[in-house]
Amino acid sequence: MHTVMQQVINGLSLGSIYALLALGYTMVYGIIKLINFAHGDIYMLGAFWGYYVINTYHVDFIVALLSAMIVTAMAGMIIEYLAYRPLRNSPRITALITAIGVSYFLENGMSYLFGANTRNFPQVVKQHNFTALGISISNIQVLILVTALILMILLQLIIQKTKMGTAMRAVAVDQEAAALVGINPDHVISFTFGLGSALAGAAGVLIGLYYNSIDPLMGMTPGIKAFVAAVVGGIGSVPGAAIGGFLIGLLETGVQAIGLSAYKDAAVYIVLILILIVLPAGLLGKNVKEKV
Amino acid sequence: MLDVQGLKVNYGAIHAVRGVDFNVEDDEIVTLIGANGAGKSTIVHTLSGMLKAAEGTIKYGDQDLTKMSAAKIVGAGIAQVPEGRRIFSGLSTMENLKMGAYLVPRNEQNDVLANVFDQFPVLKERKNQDAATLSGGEQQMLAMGRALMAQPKLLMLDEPSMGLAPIYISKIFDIIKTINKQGVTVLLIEQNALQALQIANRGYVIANGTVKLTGTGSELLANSEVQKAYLGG
Repeated sequence: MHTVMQQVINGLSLGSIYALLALGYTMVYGIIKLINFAHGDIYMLGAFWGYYVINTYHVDFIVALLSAMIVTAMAGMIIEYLAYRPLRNSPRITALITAIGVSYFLENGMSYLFGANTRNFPQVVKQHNFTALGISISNIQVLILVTALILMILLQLIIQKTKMGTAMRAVAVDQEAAALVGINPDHVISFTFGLGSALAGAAGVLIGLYYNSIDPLMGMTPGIKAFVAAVVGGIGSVPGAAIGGFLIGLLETGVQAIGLSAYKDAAVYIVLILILIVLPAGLLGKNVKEKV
Repeated sequence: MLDVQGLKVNYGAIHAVRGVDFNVEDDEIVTLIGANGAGKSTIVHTLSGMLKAAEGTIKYGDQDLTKMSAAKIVGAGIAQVPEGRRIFSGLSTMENLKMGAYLVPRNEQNDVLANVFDQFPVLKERKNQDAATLSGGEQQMLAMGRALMAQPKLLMLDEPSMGLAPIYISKIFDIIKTINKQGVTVLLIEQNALQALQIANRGYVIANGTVKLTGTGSELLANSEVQKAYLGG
């Protein structure tokens, strides 16, 4: 029982990272039907930014987190503007291939500029372990969970309660009708990229603290797993992405706990295949019926 | 108010609109009637900035709409009730209306909203409901309410009666008349020629991407060609 609880704690910590990443995938997909394969690399940029500001300016965790969110938001908006906006009216496959290209560009660009070696992420928060009822929780795990939950609540408030959030939902439903009420879809799409990228940047700083090591290719596997999380939750659904992220995190730590560490990635992809066969729309996927 | 001259619009190689002239004066109800595929909707999409004109000018006051984005055109005072209603499903009725007022300053929105609720009491009853759960007629009212939230000077309605139960059709045309009496100029695109011509000051018959006939509503209603082709007479 203790080990199960212990794995649940570990799984939720890891899962909250996947959830933050999956939210960006699902929001971008919801609004322009693009699987932004460069999203995992935005998370890498966030981790590197955190590494840079903490080492150079000795800022604390909050400053590192917030500045990484701002920087990655800008990076996401610039990428959208330069790489995806010119392809707005192209076939979806063109934009998808471009996203893969952007991903390689970011990974190799960072390797070229700063070196491909793995670095130790500065431990700006000193790790303490608490033991309660035989379960060990570190303050960093608590920090990750709390930060992720706060960001998800804020995101939900932005999407549900603000004018821009409502416009995001409107553009996602019908971009032309949105333009006909005076919404500029380009602004809304740009905002969506910024919002999703900020969450990825936050996830990058959190994972740096958790795993203590970063490198230019660190976004590849988590990026794909977060994509799986978004599909499991129902791509396009914001609560679905959060749930999918936690499920993938729990699954991965669970598989590790029963001694199948070598298969933890395979387990995630098996889930993807099963979901696509059994529940192609995902757990909370929308099956919108239109009235005529 | 609106002056369209020599308008040509292409869909790739298809010439959907081949040189159309028409105008709408302040406080009028003008209707474009014609069969499915005649080019009416293409004209509306070009007016609202969703399609680019190949040739011709669309003057609105002293602005040329052919050079403006859809959002700018809404800001200039032209709102559209799109064909098929195109309400935002998943958003509540209230959120749909608020999106209609996207460019209206927040402090003016309450007055506009009160007006729309006066016009369409059913929307007030359903304000917290997901717009997708509204009936077809209610969705049409929501689409009209949403367009009115932009406080337009010119309201364009694209096939507002399409697919509605007869009881709603006459209601919709009554409401169009009321909106017009309140000082909103109306451009009405309809296949339902009889109802449209009955409330219109003037009409244009569109066929094969050109204006075939024009006249006052009653002139066109009395015209034998119109009767034969569009009124089943």
